[in-house]
Amino acid sequence: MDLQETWKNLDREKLSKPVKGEIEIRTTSKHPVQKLIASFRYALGFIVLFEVVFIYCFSVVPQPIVKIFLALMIIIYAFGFLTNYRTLRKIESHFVMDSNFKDSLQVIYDSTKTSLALQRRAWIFIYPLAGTTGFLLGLSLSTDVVEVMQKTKNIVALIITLAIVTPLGYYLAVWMENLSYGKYLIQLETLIAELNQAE
Amino acid sequence: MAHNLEKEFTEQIDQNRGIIYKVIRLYVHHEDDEKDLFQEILFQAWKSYPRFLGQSKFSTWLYRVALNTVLTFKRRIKLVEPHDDMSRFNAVSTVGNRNEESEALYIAIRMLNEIDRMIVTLHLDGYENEEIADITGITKNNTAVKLHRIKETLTKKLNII
Repeated sequence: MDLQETWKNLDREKLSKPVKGEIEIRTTSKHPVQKLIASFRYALGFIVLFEVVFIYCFSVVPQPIVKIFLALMIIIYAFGFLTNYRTLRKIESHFVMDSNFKDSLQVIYDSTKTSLALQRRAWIFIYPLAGTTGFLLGLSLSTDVVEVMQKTKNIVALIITLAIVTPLGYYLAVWMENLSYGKYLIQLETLIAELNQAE
Repeated sequence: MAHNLEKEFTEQIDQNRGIIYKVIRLYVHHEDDEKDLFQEILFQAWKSYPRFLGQSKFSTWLYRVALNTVLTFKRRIKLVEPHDDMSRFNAVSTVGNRNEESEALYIAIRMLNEIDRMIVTLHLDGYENEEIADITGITKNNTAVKLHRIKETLTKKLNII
C-alpha cells in the first residue's frame, strides 16, 4: 500500500467532506477555560455589588465606629476586585489556541490556583471582619454602638455570632469555590498531565 | 474595520474548512459531537484571528487552532479511543481494494493515541518535521522519533492487506 496515495484518497473521499447539520458561529465557548473565565466574571460582579452596598451604608450610617469597619470592608473588597481582575486578564490573554497550548494551560492553571489560595487565606480575616461589621451595623440602626458594646453581654453576643458566622461563611465560600472552579481545574490538571506524558 | 476582518476570516475559513472537517473526523467518536466541535473550532479561530500575522500559512495556523481545540475540549466530547475501531479494522483489513485500503488507513490512524494521530496527520498532509514540531509544541527530535515509531506501527497493521 502506498501510504501517501491512500491518504490522498481518504482525504478526498471521506475526511474533507462537510459535517452534517447546519453550522452557525457561536458567540460563546463551551471550553473549560471559558467556564473558569465566566466564574471569575461572576465573582467580579458580586464584588462590585457588595462594594456598592458597603459604599451606600458608609454614606448613610452616622456612627464613626461603624464607618471605620465599613471602610475596611470597602478597602478589602477593592483589593479583592483588583486581584480577581488581574487573574482574569492573565487567563484571557493566555486562552488562545494558536500558541503552545500546554504552556498556556499551565499558566492558566497556576494563576487560578494561586488566586484561589490567596482568596482562601483572605477569607480567614474577612469573615470575622464582615461578621463584626454586620453586627455593629445592625446595632447602629437602633442604638449608640460604642455605649452598647461596653456591656459584657453584648461582647459575648458578638463573639458567639463570629464563632458561628466565620466557619459557616468560610465553608460556604469553599463550597461555592469548588462549584465554580473545582471541576474545570481538575479537567485542566488531567489534561496537562496527559500532555506531559505524551511528550 | 471589524467587518473587513470578518469578511477576510470567512473567506479564509471557506478555503480551508477541509482542515477542520479532517481533524474532527480523526478525533470525534460520535457523529453528534462533530457539529459541536466544528462550532467550537470556528469560535476559537475567530477569537485568535486578530493575532494571526500571516507569518505562517493560514492553513498551518488553522491546523494548530483545530488540534489544540480538539485536545483541550476532550472532556466535553467523547474522542476516539485506540480500541474503539478494532472490530471495524479487522473487518476492512481483510479486503484489499482502494476504498478498503483508505478505510483501513483511516481506522489505523484513529487507533493511534491522540498526539501520534496529530503527528502522522500533519506528516501525511506534507508538513515538515519542523512545522509539525511548531504546531504540536513537541521538540523537532522528539517529533522525528515519534514519527518513525508511528510509521512502523501503521506499516505493521496495514501490511495485513
